[in-house]
Amino acid sequence: MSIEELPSVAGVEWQGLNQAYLRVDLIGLWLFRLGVLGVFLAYTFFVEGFPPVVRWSIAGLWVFLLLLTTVLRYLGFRIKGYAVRQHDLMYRRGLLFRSVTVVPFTRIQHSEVEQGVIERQFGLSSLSVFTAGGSQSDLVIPGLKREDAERIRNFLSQKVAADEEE
Amino acid sequence: MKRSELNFLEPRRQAQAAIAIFIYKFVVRILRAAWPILLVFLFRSNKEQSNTELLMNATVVIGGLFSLGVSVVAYFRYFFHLEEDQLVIQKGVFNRSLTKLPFERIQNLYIEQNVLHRLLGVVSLRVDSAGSSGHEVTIDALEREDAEAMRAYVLEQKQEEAQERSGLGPEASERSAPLAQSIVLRLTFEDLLRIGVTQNHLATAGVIVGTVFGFLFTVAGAFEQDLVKTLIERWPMLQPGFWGFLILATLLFVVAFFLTLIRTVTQHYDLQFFESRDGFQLKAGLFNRREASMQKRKIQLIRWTDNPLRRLLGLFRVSIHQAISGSERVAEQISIPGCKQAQVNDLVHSSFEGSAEAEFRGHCISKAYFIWYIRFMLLPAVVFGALGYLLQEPRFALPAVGFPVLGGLYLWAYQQRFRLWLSPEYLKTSEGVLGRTVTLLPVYKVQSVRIRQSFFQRRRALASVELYTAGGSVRVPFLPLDLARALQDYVLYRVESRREDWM
Repeated sequence: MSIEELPSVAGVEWQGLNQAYLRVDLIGLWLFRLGVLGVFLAYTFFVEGFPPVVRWSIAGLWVFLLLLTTVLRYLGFRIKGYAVRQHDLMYRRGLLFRSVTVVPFTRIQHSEVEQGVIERQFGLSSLSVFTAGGSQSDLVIPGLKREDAERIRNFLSQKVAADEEE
Repeated sequence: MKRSELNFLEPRRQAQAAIAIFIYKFVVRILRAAWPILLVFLFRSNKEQSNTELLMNATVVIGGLFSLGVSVVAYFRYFFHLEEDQLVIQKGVFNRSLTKLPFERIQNLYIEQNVLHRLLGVVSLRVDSAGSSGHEVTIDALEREDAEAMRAYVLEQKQEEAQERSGLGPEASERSAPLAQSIVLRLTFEDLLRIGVTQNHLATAGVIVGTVFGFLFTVAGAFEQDLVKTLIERWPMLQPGFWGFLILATLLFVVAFFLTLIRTVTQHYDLQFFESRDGFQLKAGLFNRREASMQKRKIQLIRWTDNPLRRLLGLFRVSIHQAISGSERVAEQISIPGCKQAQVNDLVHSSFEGSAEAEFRGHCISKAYFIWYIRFMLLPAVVFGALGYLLQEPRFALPAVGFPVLGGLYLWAYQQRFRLWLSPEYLKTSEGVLGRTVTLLPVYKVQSVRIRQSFFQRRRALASVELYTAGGSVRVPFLPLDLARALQDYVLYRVESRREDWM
């Protein structure tokens, strides 16, 4: 078998994340960043003699960065996607810094379906796949419909169990 | 054990003592994070509180009460039970999570008891799944008999499964009697001194400086007095100036030198390294005697490193990595300082069958590596240059020129010397500027592959490849995209097409 005949990762068909996840992602981002801004502003008002110029320029910069991040997340959303192939699970992300991670089913230790507070409002879940050793090689696919996440998780458990029996 | 005797089949909570343990853990966490604040609280000279202080204390108190509440609620929301073939845990206060751990993934179960457990008459059950750090399962408080029953049940199920799979009787798996061991390496006191002298003393010096400053600033910050300033004013040695600096630097180096030397000797004292047919064993240490053993088939990757001083003596530090679960058990990795090249080769060849005959083809990384990273060296140069110009301070020219020149040389050498070696069964990288680190792993040990591409790399059809095993990872930066993809495809094909015992 030559290199050209190997199943190639390059031509895979990506499944996009659920459209509602973009909102989940942005709400989370805004809540967190505005929360930090609120604490900062409260602090500067509390401390006497904090120069207003410094206060507002930091706040302005913060908001500008927030808007910039929002645009990047918005554009990056369509890059995010996953693929379930015959023997492995893939996840792609990153607009400026793209990464494609592949985890073979035979190397999966266990998997979890998780739901954050905001995700729950939209009926979404995240699927986490854990491998052995350090956490760097773990995979998290966010923005899945609850039932999709459960379905993939069950599929993975079956695959893992079937592999064990072979 | 009959299933009916087990009362773990329905979701249930831990023993109530778990609340006490949760609270204890919480208090420890608080103490560790906030000891300077508490110190000030206890030893403050003036009892008047300023507004900022009041705010700070209120935050601490509210945060404390909140976390305390969370710990208690966490107990009531923690459920576990056993299903047919897996352990199920539901937990979480804000984010609920459901963990299912199939028995076949469980490596072992440990019953542990610390002082608090002993007082409360419970035990904790730690489930080792060779999973990632932070995702290990520990049930904090159980009655001892429950824990033992659970442990026995899971292990029994595991064994039955294993027998069904292999079709062998129970005696076959337990026959592995200890085999004859032969000693491979033994370090004498003289060897230890040699290794100690060639350690990286600069790293120790860095740690000393960091620790001392960290401590001074924490204490000074907590007491709101400029302790550091007082210290500097009182000590003539710390006065700014060439001689003060020289004395301080020499002192620091001497202390660092002896500290590393002492640490090396105590840590590796009377190091003995044995090999048997299936594995390795290491014994070392003066005060804490470590004994680590490792099965050859569980080895994920081997790494050997030298530095300029070691090169003169022909010595390498070899580390053998097996599957780790959790960061705290890094100590289970075997690390042997002071190996000769021949010993390294023997070790590698006996761990990885056929690696001696493997024919490797070498690949370089792209020169674009230099072009990308030199930008980050130019940034400080520009900052120092601008500052020097604005402040009319010619001394700033030194870092302004030094950063890009030294950094550039380093990057250039790194790019030139980096090699990726590929053979059908093995993958090897060799990297480093002053020293050299070689990493070797069998391709089938890989458990996940990641290709990264920045916008810069995408324009030039380049990519960085990261290969993760259960014992560590290898990163190859700036490969041609075609090669990166072919490598990824091949590694996945190799991992997925055969079933092998890899961990």
